[in-house]
Amino acid sequence: MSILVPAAPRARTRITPMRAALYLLLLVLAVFYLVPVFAIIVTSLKGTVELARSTVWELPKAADLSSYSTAFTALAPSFFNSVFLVVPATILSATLGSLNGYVLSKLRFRGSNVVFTLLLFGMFIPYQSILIPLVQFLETINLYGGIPGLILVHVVYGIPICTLIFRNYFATVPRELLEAARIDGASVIGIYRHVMLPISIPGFVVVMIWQFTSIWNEFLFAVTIAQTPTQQPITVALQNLAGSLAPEQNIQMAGALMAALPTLLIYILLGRYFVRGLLAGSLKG
Amino acid sequence: MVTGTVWRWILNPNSGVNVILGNLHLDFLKSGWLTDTNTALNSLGIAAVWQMSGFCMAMFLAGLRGIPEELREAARVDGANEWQLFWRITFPLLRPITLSAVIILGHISLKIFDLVYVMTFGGPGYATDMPSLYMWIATFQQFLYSRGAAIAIVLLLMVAILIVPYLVWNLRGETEQ
Repeated sequence: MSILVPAAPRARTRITPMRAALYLLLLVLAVFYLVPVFAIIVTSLKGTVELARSTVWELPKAADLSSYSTAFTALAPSFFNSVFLVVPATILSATLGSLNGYVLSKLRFRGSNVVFTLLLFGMFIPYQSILIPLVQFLETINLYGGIPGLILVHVVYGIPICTLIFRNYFATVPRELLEAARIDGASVIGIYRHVMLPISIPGFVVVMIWQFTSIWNEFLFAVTIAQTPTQQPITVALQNLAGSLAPEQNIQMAGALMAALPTLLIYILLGRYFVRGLLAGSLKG
Repeated sequence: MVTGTVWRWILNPNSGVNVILGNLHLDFLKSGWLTDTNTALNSLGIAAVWQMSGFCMAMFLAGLRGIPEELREAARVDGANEWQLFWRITFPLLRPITLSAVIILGHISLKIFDLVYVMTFGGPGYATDMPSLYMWIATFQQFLYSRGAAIAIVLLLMVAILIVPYLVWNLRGETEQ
């Protein structure tokens, strides 16, 4: 497009006081966003000696990886707990969400808009409002205390947001495509399996990134439900690492980096699909 | 959680940003940050802004990409400067996104739990106590279930006041389409 349209004459970029102030502001903001990143990396690479007050913000003289091995030993079990929690919960909630989204966007029935709005409200219900009955319920069905219970909770709590994203995604699929499939003799389930599912991969990417990061970082349900020490997700273990053992800051930072690593990787690898997916009408105004 | 852990360190009066300020001889800017009753809430706010603004930026980025360049071009041809372009064209077109962002971040802030738990646990004193944390402490540490349930309902009502009008507005838009 921009090749065909001659570029507009750019405003002259003289350095006016206004512009200088703008750049200064942007610089300050950039530092604000980068300081925590700097702090976490630099501190985690330091040995205990360099944590002294005078050198606390300086670069480490030599990379000391001992804090990583300590943090890894302490957090590895809970790291894998989190993996075993997040992977099934993400896949299940994405699947349910895509089925819901299909039904609510293409098989409109009486009151489907009301059902959809009620579902949406479910997305906004504070975790705390349902926490007490939730714990009682999980105790009744013997899932209180561990990862399976947490999976159930996250799958159910993930249904609204997944449904919303898939419904808006499927709304862009032209009706003719479904008609054609129907004429070819596909059933409701068949249309879903052979038409909707294959074209909804970008939707799945968005939903799975979203669910993965929010379940991975979730803390309230984790600290309340995963009472068995061997079943703690990494968020709880990271907090305990800071609290009860009171280890050095470098170990805490290494642990924090380890806890952030999977979500960071996901965003680095798939981040552009996420913004593109948001653009594709997943978040409508 | 990670955000909380890092910012707790940066805002630690003994190790964090105070050291930089000391080195720059800006001692008057030093503060107790999270340990001072007067500054704790704002310090928590800094960390919350850092954490949540990224999501906001992604939303606005998506919104900005949805605005056709032709529209801005047309306004430029009509003689609008960049300032007018933003306030008359871009910003009004971003209004739905702005509303969504305010609603989403508003309800997330009302429910904020992790950051407070990690960084201050409501302290010093009750300076940074939040409904969500209060509910959790009352229920799972003091075992006052009825109080916890009551706080939970108040929290739900607070969120509902913010969310229900938005959802109704959304639904009305749906049926009109």
